[in-house]
Amino acid sequence: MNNKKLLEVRRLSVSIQLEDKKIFAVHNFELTLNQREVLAIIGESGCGKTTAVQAITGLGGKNTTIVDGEIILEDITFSPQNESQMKKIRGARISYIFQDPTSYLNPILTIGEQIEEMILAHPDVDEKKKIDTLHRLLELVELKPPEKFLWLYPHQLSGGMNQRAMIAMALASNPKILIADEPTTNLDYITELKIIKLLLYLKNKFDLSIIFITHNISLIEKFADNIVVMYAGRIVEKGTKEEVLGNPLHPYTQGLLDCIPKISHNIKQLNTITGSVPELSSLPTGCKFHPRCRYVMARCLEEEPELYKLSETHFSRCYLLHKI
Amino acid sequence: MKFLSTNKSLVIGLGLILFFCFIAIFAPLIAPYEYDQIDQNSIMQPPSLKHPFGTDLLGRDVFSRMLYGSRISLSVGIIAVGIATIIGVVVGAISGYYGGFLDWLISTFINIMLCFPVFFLILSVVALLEPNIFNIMVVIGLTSWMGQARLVRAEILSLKERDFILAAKALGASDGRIILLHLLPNAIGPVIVSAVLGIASAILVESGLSFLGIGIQPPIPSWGNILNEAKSSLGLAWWLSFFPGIAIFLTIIAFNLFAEGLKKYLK
Amino acid sequence: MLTYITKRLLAMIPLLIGISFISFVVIHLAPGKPTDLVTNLNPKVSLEARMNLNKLYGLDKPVTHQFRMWFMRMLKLDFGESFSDGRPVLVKIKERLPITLAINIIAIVLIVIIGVILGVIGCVFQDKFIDKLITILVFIGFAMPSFWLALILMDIFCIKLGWLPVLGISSVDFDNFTPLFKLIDLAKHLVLPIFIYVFGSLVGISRYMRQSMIETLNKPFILTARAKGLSNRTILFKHVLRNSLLPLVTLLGLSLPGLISGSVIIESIFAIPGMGRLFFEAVMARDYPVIMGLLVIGALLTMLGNFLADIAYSVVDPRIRYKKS
Repeated sequence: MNNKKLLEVRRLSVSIQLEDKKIFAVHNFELTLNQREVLAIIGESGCGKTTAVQAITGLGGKNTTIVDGEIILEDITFSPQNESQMKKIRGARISYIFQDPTSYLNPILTIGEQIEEMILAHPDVDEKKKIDTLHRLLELVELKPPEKFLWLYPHQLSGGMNQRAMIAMALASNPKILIADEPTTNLDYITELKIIKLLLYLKNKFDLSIIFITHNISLIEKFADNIVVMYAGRIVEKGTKEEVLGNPLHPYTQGLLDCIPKISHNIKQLNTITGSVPELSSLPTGCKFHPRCRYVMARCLEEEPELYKLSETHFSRCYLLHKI
Repeated sequence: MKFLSTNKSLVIGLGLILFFCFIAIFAPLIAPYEYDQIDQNSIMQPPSLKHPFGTDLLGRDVFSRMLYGSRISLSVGIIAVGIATIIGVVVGAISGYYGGFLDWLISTFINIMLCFPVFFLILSVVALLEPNIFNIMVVIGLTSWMGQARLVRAEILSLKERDFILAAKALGASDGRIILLHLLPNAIGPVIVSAVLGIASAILVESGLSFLGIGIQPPIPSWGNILNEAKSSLGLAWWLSFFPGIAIFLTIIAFNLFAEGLKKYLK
Repeated sequence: MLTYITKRLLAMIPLLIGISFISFVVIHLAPGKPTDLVTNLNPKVSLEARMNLNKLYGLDKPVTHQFRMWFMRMLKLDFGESFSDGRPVLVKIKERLPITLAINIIAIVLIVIIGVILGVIGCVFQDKFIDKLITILVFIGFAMPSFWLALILMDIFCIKLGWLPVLGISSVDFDNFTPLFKLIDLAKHLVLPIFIYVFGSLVGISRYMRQSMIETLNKPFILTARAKGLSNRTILFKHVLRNSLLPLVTLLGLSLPGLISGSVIIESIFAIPGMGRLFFEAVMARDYPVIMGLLVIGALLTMLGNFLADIAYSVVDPRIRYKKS
């Protein structure tokens, strides 16, 4: 099955102005997303995942500047720095759901009002069908009976229910792409599974593509098609799930996967990666991972490696792959 | 030097405050006339070389009266706020530290005091007693401690359960010691800012009282009672309302700027 | 919700006791007995009247009994008769209350409308020239003593320009005016006092709104609103503004005592026959019962205002109105 290429992100770079210095939170972020694909992005806290995916539609904080980049959405090129272009894409073509849904919902509006707002902002639905669509959306995300949930406020619902409401809201405008930023990190395991199942179901039903940020490797095993690994604002490895999990090329990815305790083995000691994530304001020279890398070579300190190719789909930003 | 340029409010505010303090302290030396020196030949004169701020209804030199008036305003402000702060800190500390029923009792008392429109309360008391400077200071002090008390109480409540306090207790420190040496120093910042703002407010209240005729009585000059004279000669003597008004205005700005600067500095 | 109201009502009981206690203390601050003051100022008062007063204040009974009597009378709003003209204090206050309330309500409405607008502008144009200008202007309004501003404005608009009348709330031949002229006449008399109230109090609401809106802009749900592709206008007014408007109700409640206090000076200057002026006159004449009555009524109004503000807030904030289900 040849799935159509839906989204291509090129050269996305974002800088953040801190009080006295400017840091490059995201550098040269690139990916492609096909129809019906689930792309997982993993990396430690602070590696730039959230900044990167928000920058795809030009979202960012007050001190964030999108330095470079373009996105190609269904063969049309857009510039994330162009706010008026981005306004047309947000919600209509690309939707978001966030971690901690209760904070990300307006506390003084009902769930119904907030979902309705999404429908009205991207009008394809006429007035008469409105309530009907609201009901259908709520039923889709299993918030039943919909008449009841329409009138409730976020603080009256649990985290899991609010996340479902967020999903309903995100899909109300029929977008092609859903970006989910750690949507289940704050939820308990059982609720998490339910939400993931819901997302899979909706993906298949509506031909959605999902970009999924998470820390949780086992979730990726179940859910993702492709994986992108980020470190210090850069993509360090990308490939299909089988490639990255079965044959991790980048030392950082290897370290991450090693860290997962395997229940089948007798665990004497938990593995970690030595060292810690560098401050984005004082990144090391050359390859950003070199201070923590067991394979470090002289080259690694001098110049940052490019993304070298193992196969058509599998890439790694490491000189190990590029022996000349 | 860098500090001076980053915190302009602090510098300007402090500068103005020091200026007013200076003229208050050295009023007798600076003033060309006595504040109650009547000159029946120079009634209601506009500003001139002889009388830089003009003269009033009794021929008294407004400039000199203004200088002496600054003494009244500043001393009332500072002492009234001093009283209020002491009461407020003590009450707030006890309420916050001991908690329980005592806290509820004190908090309810504060709420009761806050129900009274401040000016009504002050007016009532000043009306019943004699309107001299001492009474006014004390009354303003006794009716404006509530804000400080709440501040201190809030700070102590939040600091009470912190580890360094529990450690001090474990080492056997007495309650008084804990409050004085550990808790209060941390709470002192907002209290000082509030006190500075309170001085401006107290000066405004005193001026208001004197303006209404229930505050400082003539011939003792207060910026407020000079304005009172301006009221009866409205339209005829602009200098009687301009100078005291501007003085009060600048004083309030001075203390507010200083408080803003302090807030920034304490961050 | 009902439990919330009941709790707040119950909390008012200690306040009532406290108000009567404090006012009781204030009465007895004056040296000598209350009746002495009367007779000193009004030598015509006969022995019989003095004995009546003694009975009224229960001055011959022990202090606790006096306090209980005072408390009961306070609940009935019975403050005795005015020393100046012998009329019941409550009647005198009732005459003056509507005017003060009306002026204050108009002032509050204007303060809210203008204050919110200024706050929104300050937030939208943060740190630009207009924001700084607004900050300076409201600060001037706050720092300027109301009585000074009154004198200046009176000098300019009433004396030099002659556009507005100086004193009172109505002109001499008010009764002969048509309804429209009556309204205009009233407005002309009240323009300056209301302006002074409003100009002096804008700082609170405008600065609060500006600050609150700036903080709300950084909240997570605003990112969601942006991610939904909503227009800037929608985000600003539906999401940011509404969230910031909620606590305004409580702010208003808190500013009530300040406005009541301020009425003494403004009404005295402009000779407006309201509660504040009555207070001033009573103080001048050492009219005890009226002073006490106004003190208590002022406190009761504040208490009532705060209570209403609390209830109003619990209604508009859904987090309080609807508990978790």
